[in-house]
Amino acid sequence: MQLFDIEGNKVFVNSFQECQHYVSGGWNYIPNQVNESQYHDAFSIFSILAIFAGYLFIRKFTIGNKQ
Amino acid sequence: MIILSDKNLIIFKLIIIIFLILIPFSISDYTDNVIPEKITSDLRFYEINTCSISLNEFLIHNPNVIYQDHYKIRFNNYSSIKCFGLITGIDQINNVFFISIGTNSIVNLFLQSVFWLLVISLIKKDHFKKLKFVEFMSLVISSLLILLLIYSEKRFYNNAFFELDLNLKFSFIHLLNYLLFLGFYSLQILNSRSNQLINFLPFAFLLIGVFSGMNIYFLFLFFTYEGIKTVLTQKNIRKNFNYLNFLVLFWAYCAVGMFYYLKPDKIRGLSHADYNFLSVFVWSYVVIFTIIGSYNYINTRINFVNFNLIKNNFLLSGFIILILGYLGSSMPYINFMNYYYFGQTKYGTDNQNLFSIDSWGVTEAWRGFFPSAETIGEFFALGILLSFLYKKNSKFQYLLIFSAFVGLLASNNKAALIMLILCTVLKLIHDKKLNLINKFVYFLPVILIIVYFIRLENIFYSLEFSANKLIQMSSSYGLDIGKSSALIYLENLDSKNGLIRFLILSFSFISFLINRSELWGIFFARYNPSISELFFGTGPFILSNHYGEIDIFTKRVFTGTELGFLLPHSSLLLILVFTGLTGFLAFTLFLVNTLRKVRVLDYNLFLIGLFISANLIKSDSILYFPSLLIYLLFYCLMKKKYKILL
Repeated sequence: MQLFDIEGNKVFVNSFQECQHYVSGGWNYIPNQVNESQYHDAFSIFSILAIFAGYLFIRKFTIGNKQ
Repeated sequence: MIILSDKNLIIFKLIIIIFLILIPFSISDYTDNVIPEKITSDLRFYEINTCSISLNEFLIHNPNVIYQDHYKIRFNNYSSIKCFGLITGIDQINNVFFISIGTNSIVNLFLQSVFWLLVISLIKKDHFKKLKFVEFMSLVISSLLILLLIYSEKRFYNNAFFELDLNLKFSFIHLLNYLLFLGFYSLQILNSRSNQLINFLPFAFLLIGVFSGMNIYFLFLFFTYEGIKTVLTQKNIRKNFNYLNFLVLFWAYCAVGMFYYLKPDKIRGLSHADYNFLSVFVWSYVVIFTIIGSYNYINTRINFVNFNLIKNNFLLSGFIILILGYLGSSMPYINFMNYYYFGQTKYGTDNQNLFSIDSWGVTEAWRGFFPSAETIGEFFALGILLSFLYKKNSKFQYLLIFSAFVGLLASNNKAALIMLILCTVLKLIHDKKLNLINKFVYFLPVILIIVYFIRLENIFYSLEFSANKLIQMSSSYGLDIGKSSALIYLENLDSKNGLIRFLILSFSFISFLINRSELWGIFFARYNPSISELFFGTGPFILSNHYGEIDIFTKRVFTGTELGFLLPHSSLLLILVFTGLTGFLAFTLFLVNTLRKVRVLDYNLFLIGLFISANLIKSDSILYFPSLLIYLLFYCLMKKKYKILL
């Protein structure tokens, strides 16, 4: 289905939920983009922390082995 | 901290592996009022409720989708992270239902890597070491190199990442973090099991490891790092590496201003897609470092090779490949899971008949689990050959040999079968030290089988017809306007030097006998090198210009069917494209020299080398990373033999 706003912008929607979103949410807020960027921020922070944690764990583990 | 014993740790890892298979495709809101409907031709329910029902929730309400072959479960990598594992749509085409499952390339990167690393970590670790500075630097450089590859292959990756804009700096910072994380854990797990891991290389054919939605093998993360570390730490390799820099610059320079693109299809992971200066430059380094890394990794652990274990792993992985291939051909759910968790480059076949015959009465090759029937046929034959050369097989191993034989026959790889029989006969002759007549008696079945496969009537065609067949096929596929330089050369062969004519016509005659006239004819109809490209090629595993530069006839000459993506079916011809005549001649001489040397030192290894070399002539196996690893393993074993002699 195709939706239009007062300025003549148009969009194709595939589901009821998507349609509802555009009707009530306006044009400037794109939930997919916001959601995705938050997920990427979370993954990024997780990756950095996991590298540090892994590094510290291995350091402790190898020092333990040497003793 | 609780430290688990080895046995408990393995059980713990197995439980996590099972969770990783079940949970990602089960997550959805089970408390909502969206209850999956029975699948019928009325698909309105699934058009309205996208991204609300997980695959497993759907399967609970539609269990027939698991095993009925008119359903196809397909991934959709361009989905949001939130939509991962959920149904994004269902379409019906004729009587086949296509169920689209939302997946996301970034989630795939994490989920698949963690799954594969957990599987690898089941192998007992032999040592653990702290990262040195040079190793840390190599990790950072390798991650940056792969990041640059993603940047340079924008045409491929633009459609791979959902809402991750590759024009924004922040996107690359995210990607770099992911690559560093995966690289760090890959090298910790692979390095700590390195000595044993070498015997498990045949399992690379099972755990292929290409990320869904990306054009890279999982093992590249580790081997690129290993290659960079080797170059940084080993002076002799660094010296030779300097010459390669000129070659890389040359290859990249040839791509300036070119924008050819190749959809990698079944050779995804080891095929460059976007032909431009930067991507050729970066891709060449990634491939070179990966090859150096793989070689160095195998070579430094070669003393840990256990032939009995390798043989067993060849047979066992072959057995699992056959079973999963067959199950996947009839059960859509297994087919989808095989693709995702084993990192296939292409979905397994849906042909349930292992020995089917097409409408022309020709036996069809059954590829099962693997993207290429020819390559998996070689793998099965190599497993059988190893079992014959390194005897003392248990009853269970005989069962596995039988399954490998079924796989070989199903793959319809006649060359691998002939080479297997030839190598077996050569081994018997070598061990029994027979006289000339007995040798002939032993060879007779091989000759008869070769004649049977070539077909008697093909031998009695006139020499002029058979020797010109390749050129004739090439002309049939070439268009009148914009012929390739190779085709123009072949069409004017009569005016060329006698020796060159003899060599080309002999090559054409051989191609006729081994049923490669059409495929190699198509290759020459496309092959359009400049003089410098003829000598130095266009770069490693770069086929985008070969397939994009020259237009050829798009239908098969004999059947009128669509040509599709046909590979040249010769690793040697591929080497000619990648490295030019210089690389082609160097590789051929090197191969002959290696075989000549190893023949007197270890006859078993000589036979394995002979088997691999013969298959390189008429198969594309170098385009699959598992095959490359196996070839490197046997090369390192051969090299070890001369070292001992020296």
